[in-house]
Amino acid sequence: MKGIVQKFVLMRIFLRSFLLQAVWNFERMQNIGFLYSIKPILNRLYTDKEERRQAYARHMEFFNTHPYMASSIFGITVKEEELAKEGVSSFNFIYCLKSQLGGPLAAIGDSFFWATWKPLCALICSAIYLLCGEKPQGLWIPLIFLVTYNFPHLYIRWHGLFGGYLWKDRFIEMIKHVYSRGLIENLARLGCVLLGILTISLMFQSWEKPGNRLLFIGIFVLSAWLNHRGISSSKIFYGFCSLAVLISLLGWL
Amino acid sequence: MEQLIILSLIAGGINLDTRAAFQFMISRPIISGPVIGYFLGELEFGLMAGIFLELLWINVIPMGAAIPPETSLSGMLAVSLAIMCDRPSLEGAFILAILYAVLCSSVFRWSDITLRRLNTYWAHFLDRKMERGGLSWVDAVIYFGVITVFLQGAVLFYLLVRTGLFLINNIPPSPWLEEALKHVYSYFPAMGLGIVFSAFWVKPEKYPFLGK
Repeated sequence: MKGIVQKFVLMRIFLRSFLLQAVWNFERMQNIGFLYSIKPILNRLYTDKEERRQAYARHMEFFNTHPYMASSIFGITVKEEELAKEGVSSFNFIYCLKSQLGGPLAAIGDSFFWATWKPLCALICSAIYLLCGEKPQGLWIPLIFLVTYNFPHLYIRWHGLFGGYLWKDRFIEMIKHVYSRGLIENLARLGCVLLGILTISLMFQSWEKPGNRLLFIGIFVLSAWLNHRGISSSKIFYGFCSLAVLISLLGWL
Repeated sequence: MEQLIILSLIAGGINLDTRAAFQFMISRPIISGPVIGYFLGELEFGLMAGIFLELLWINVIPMGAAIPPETSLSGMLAVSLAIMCDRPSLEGAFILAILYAVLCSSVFRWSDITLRRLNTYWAHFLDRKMERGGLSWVDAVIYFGVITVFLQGAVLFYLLVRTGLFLINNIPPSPWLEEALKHVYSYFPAMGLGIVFSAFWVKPEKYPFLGK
């Protein structure tokens, strides 16, 4: 498969990959979404109905990974399917590849996108909003969040598919190198610094009385400590509300 | 009534982004809050409410195959109720709405788990169809999955907004309650930022599976 046809098929797989988790199930997780995504290449490679049925059935096996990282596995699978058709690769190898790459890529995706990049983007946007004396109007803040967050998201989806197709498993090494522990820890440190600046600025900006500032810091430290000890944010919120109601009821507010 | 139906359809559409389609994060409160606020004519409040809720739920992430507490529909529910209910102050209404929305997040999560269980049936259904040569069913099952998630979100949102409006409007306004809610609202950023702090607190053992 060469040139425009190759790009067209990969483009279709890219668009279809956005529905990877539409029928996520507890038994085989993203299997139906995976088959749906790579269907264009299977249809192109297997014109005989029985061969196509067997190819579909092979990709109905268990599959699960981070939705953004799945593109790399799509790219590699497409290439290996082409090679298997030519007799260079095997179906068993494709099965092993899918099951062995899913876990590590999910770990990278979860750590980078869910646990670091998303909170950092949200914190940057919250800081812009909370620190502006003249509160920003309109949909600018959500727009900044969407653009900032989705830049690496769409990049890894797009580049993962084409990179996986062109470089196969060497591409996974590249991903592992780029999304390293060092990058994630540095982003987390940046988040901590930004959070410190935001908290101190907000405290001095919003509260004039020293007693109120002390209460602000007290609530901040207590919430951080409780959440760090594993108490959920919803429970902290409920506790905070109950305490406020109790104090108000006693007439201390 | 008509406004609530359109609002529920918007909520159902935004909820697709959580799992079923795209994952552009438009379902996060920082985006969905202003969208709901804009629709209800309170864009400024929607934006602020969205940011507060984002701080509260910043640590809620779907790690691995785990299903975390629901924050997408719950966030939209809190913003909608705060604007639509009849309370002395918008800030106090917002805090009451969050208290209710947090409870409702269990309902949303339960319905999501049920839907994922039902999806196993569709996997078996496809197996059977493919054995008989019905290869065109893959697309149909995917689109059906998307429609089901959309309807689940829209219908539950509609029902829980109606229930929430009834409950919140029937809480008698009293000075001590309003005072307490006002204080919770004014110190909300302190609590939210405290929760954000633990999201960024780097522990070396946090990423054992990643290379140096």
